[in-house]
Amino acid sequence: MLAYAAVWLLAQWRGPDAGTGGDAAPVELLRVSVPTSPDDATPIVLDAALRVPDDVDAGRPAPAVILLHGFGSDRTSQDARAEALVRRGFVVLAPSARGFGDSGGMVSLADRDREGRDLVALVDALAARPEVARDAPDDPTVALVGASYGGGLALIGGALDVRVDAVVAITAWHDLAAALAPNATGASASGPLKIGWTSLLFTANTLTSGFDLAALSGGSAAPVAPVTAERCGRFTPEVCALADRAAVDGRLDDAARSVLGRASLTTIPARAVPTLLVQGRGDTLFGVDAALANATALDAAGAPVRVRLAEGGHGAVGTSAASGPLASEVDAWLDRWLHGTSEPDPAAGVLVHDAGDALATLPLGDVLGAGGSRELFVALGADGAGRLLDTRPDGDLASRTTVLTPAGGLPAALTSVPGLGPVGELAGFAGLGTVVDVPGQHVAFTGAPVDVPLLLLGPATLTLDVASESGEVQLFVRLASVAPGGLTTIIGSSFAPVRLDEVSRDPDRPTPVGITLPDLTHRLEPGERLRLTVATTDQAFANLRTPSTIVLDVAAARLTVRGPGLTAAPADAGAVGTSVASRAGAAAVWDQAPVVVVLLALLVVGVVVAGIVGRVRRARRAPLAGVEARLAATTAGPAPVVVRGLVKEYADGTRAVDGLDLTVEAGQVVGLLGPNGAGKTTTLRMLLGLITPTDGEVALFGQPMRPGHPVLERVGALVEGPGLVPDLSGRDNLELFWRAGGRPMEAAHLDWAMSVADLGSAIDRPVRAYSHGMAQRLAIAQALLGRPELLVLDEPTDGLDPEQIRAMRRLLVRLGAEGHTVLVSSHLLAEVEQTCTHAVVVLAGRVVAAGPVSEIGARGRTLVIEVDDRERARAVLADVDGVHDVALEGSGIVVSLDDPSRSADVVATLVGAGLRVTTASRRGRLEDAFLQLTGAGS
Amino acid sequence: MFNELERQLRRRRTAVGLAGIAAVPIILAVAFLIAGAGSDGPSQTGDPTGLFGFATASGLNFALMSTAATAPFLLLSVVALFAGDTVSSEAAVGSLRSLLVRPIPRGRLLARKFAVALLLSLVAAALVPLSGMLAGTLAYGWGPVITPFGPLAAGESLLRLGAITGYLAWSALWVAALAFALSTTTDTSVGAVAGTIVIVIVVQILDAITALGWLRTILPVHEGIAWVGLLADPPRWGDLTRGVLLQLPYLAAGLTFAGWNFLRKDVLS
Repeated sequence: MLAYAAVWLLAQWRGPDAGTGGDAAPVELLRVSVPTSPDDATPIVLDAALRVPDDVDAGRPAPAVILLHGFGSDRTSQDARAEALVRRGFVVLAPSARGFGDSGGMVSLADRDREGRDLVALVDALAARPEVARDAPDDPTVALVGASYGGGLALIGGALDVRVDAVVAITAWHDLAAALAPNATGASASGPLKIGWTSLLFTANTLTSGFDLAALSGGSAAPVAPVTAERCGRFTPEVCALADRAAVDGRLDDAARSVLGRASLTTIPARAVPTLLVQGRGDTLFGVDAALANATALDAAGAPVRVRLAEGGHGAVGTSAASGPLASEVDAWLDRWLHGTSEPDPAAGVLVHDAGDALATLPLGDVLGAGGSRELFVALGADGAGRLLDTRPDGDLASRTTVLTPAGGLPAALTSVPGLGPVGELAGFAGLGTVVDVPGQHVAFTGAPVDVPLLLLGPATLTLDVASESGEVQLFVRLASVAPGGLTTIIGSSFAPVRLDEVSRDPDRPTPVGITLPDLTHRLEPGERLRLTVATTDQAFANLRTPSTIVLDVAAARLTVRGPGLTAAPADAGAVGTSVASRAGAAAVWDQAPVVVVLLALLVVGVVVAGIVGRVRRARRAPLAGVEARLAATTAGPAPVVVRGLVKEYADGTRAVDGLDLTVEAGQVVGLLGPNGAGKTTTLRMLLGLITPTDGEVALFGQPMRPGHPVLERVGALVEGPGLVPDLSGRDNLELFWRAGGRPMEAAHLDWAMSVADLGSAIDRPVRAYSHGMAQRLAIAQALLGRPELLVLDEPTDGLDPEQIRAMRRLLVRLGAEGHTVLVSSHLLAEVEQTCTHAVVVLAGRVVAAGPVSEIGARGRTLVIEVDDRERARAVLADVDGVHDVALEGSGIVVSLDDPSRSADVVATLVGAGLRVTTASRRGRLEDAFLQLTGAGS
Repeated sequence: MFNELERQLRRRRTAVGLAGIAAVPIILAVAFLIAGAGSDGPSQTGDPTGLFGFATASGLNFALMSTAATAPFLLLSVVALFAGDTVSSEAAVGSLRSLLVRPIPRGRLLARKFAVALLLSLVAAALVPLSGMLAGTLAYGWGPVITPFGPLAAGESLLRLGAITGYLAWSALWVAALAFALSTTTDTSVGAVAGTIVIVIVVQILDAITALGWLRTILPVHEGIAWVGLLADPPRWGDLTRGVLLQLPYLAAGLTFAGWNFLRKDVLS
């Protein structure tokens, strides 16, 4: 929480200069006077805002940027961007173009002699300012920056005025006539008008108050002031008439094309000015082809050109380049060419996402199609379905198909909704929206799924033979990628509208048509298919109104796609299309890929489930009643522990336990005695199901042991030291341990167990702070929680001090007396002798002795005697009747007797022989066995 | 289940892991504020999602950026910690023994542990956008989201952010399964966690080598960036669906190995 408060405080502190409106640079309003046209000297006053950075004056001049607004708005739309550029150290001049905002005059649609000359006048105005850096007298260091209409103007200004040092044109056109009414046949005649876009653009400026296209596209609120429309708005009569005729005809006439040509770089020679072109790959107004055409012209003139192809449509890319992520790329270009600094240096070339999906800068030549190409055969299958094939189709395939142009041009295919707010932008954006083709009005040709990513760059071309009933034809050709799931993505803005006034009416002698799809910049992912669609209608365009039947003959049809590294008709990999024969197989595999994955997953899951079910069944088969019934069954019944022939062999071949037999009856306290490494712990682990025996059987309370068997409810265990969670307190360890078994805390003897542990206040401290002895006592308490019928303890006194060891022994004795069964392992003889009723001695994994401790102690047949002369004592005793053997051991002798009752005779014999007997004691069988085994090495 | 959850929640590494990942957006916010990165923001290199440049547009944008920044590695590391540590650390301190001598089948114990590891991973995945939203809103205010695809209303963005978190958590399943499988093989939790992270890095390197062709498409991280499609309108479901399905074989393989190994394992620690 404190950290969030710090963020808030920091934000408050940083607030003023992090925001946009805090310390805006002072704005000086300029009135720049320009002539109406070369033929009409009537002055027009342009309204422009000049901003100068604080630290810039005549002594320390800075380069300037002229910031140009888009169509339908004015200079105020650039305020935020201007502030940002001022903060980067540029003098910024933001004019309203003529016919917009508070500037005078009428809109001539970027006429080079009118709007173009205005830009020259604005550069003149900057040349007069002492704050602006100069390359030469009257030559200010200046860049033109604009988006859409402003982008087109920036390009025109850069071509007209030699003093311009850099240009940034965002979503600009190349040929305005071709952009508004494209004709993909390359014919000089106009193609269909982009009616949606054109209407929107012209409407924008007939509203007296105007409205900002970018604002609509960006999703901000529509203007609230009431607006009124005028017939021609602020367009010149020439432009107004042009728009009217175009809207009625659905195409541009020659007069209109000549007017628009005055705004196009087709007619204005390019100049070697460093230019950054930013274009949206989903721009349906000015497509990627416009940027590439501009780049080609500038490149030919020797200009450094960088093309940034970004995701997004017309409005989105414009917004992004002004205030979004693309703005930094614009800034880098300005820094490089105005300040002479930029890190990293923005390289010339085309910046686009390459086949590896990384942003890469490619040489312009590659993008323009020199990088490689591939020819695909356009074919119709026997079923009439269209296909794109890598190899020439063979067999009796249909070559003709028919599409209709509906009367009145409706209904029409819906592919994009230009410019109308986010919905329209996003629907058009990279074809994310649904493409709705009208049945009977289109034919689609689909390739096989590609198996490696393919980068398509540069124009694609299609040749096709067409005949039309009416002699007139308008077609919309587009390429799309189809994902395995069916999602259709129109590739970039690749609509190729085709308008032909004179085609053959005879289906048997169709007219060959060559169509260029202007701009493909698309990465075809593995599994995606290329789809070519030829349709007769599109809602975004003015459609033909005369109904007609169109015959498409694909017998000689070819589609050529271009891209770096593409080669003609590959034999195997990288197929865009494929042959008819192999297509089915390849497609089937790709179509099934997700299914295969799911089937594989289901198979594996099935195996797991089967395994679990099997285990559960086996668990049910075991003779078990419910938990309560099992708890009710007390000591009566089968022996708590029965072990037969137990073997544990580890992977390295060592046998830790080697045929061990062990029985613990109810109520016994059994000591498992043996030296370290005898197999005691391994035996106990197998008893509890922690490890799996190699051979032999373990049964607890008559139930064959398996890991996690319910019979463990009746067992408490401590194996090989305490196993506690170090982060938890002692009490929490006990509680979590108990609840892990699924029984309520009330069923545990918590207080009793804690009193045994005797940890005092340490019970609430984390276990990691415990000494070994404390942890050991807690672990014993853990084992005692359920007051188990069978208690299995492995070296319980390990780590305890003498007082606690005594307490431990008393506890074991008490538990035994109360009827609990205890199996305790130890390597200490005394411990077993003092606490256990029974003992089992193991060595090397085998039982070497077993029986009741008391019996062993009572019937000991070995006498240990300390005597002054051991050699003589041995000689004396050698002949005594009943003495089995005499051995020297330590400071005394060990006498083995046939009968324990003869021990008094032995002592009497030694004393009678004059030897000094210091001590004489009888040793039990247990100790005998233990010492024999452990002492074997000594 | 709740027992296991309590067991993990009260462990220090859980708190450290969750607090650590929740702190990242705060660190980012402080860094952004100190650096004064604004709308004319940072360079776009190294940002495949295109979200870094919009980070300061609104609190929700900041949450998205935080998610984008932590998704490829940090989140996977935290998931590796939760899933890789859960069995091995208990084996290391011996408490696994204590659990296994209780009358609980090992399969159930394993299932509980995996479920809790997944739950904690989901919490970790959700903490990033939540913390990012909080820190971002404090620093840059509440507002609609700007994405590379265009603006999204705040309410809609919340839904998308939720879906993105879900997808990222799901995309971490293979890491969880892998770490869990390794966790059953070792008594050192560092081995299981670090081993998983090394494998994650190797897989990410493989996925970055475009020359590997189709092989990349079956790597579990191949659709790791597909969540960006959830910002489009309408969302791009193709890659997301593939990404979701892609986890299943790895999940199944990891869990099968974990179960196969653990049910047979001799617990010697």
